[in-house]
Amino acid sequence: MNETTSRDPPERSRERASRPATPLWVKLFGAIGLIVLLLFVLLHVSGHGFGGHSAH
Amino acid sequence: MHAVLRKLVLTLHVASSVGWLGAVAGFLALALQGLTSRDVDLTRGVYLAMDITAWLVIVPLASASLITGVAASVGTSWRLFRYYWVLVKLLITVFVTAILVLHMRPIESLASAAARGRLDPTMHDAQQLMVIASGLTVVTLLALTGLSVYKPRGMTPFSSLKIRS
Repeated sequence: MNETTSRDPPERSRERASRPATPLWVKLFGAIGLIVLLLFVLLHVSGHGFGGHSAH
Repeated sequence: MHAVLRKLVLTLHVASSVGWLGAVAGFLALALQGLTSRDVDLTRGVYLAMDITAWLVIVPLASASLITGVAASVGTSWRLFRYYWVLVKLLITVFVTAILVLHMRPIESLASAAARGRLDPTMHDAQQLMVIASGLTVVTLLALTGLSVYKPRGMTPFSSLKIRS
């Protein structure tokens, strides 16, 4: 992702090279968050979500 | 932010966050009791207590944790978007609080059914969801506590933008 192309101006290339890489723990949290979000959406779509229960 | 005010906000943030975790752990214990108990009177009492706990303890503590967390990070050198651990904590807290507030209906449904003495088998799904949701929330809040204590390294791209500007 940090590769430079011939079209990049020099400042842009330096900027990309100096940009800190995303830490592994952030990627891990992101992946878990995405899975939880997908499960949550699936629960709602399948009708087992939190909103559909009523005592009436 | 002045040091006295900063410490006050931080104290409120720690108290509300840890209180939130404790309240949800209590809620989980009640939800487990409500799901597994065969004592009708006890189950009715459990769901009435869960409704009160959710509205009067969990929602206020979650909101307080979010507000004081934003205030504590904005008012210090941590800032809100500079470090990944602060940003991740913010995103998770906003998500969990929003889900909590938007999904209070099944708790209210269970409590009103319990008040009328009509907890029928069709409510089993809602009872199970209470256990799953509060269990997941406890795990999430423990992760947030860990993030606050360990403060894992990593600066966001927003931090370098701010420094340059």
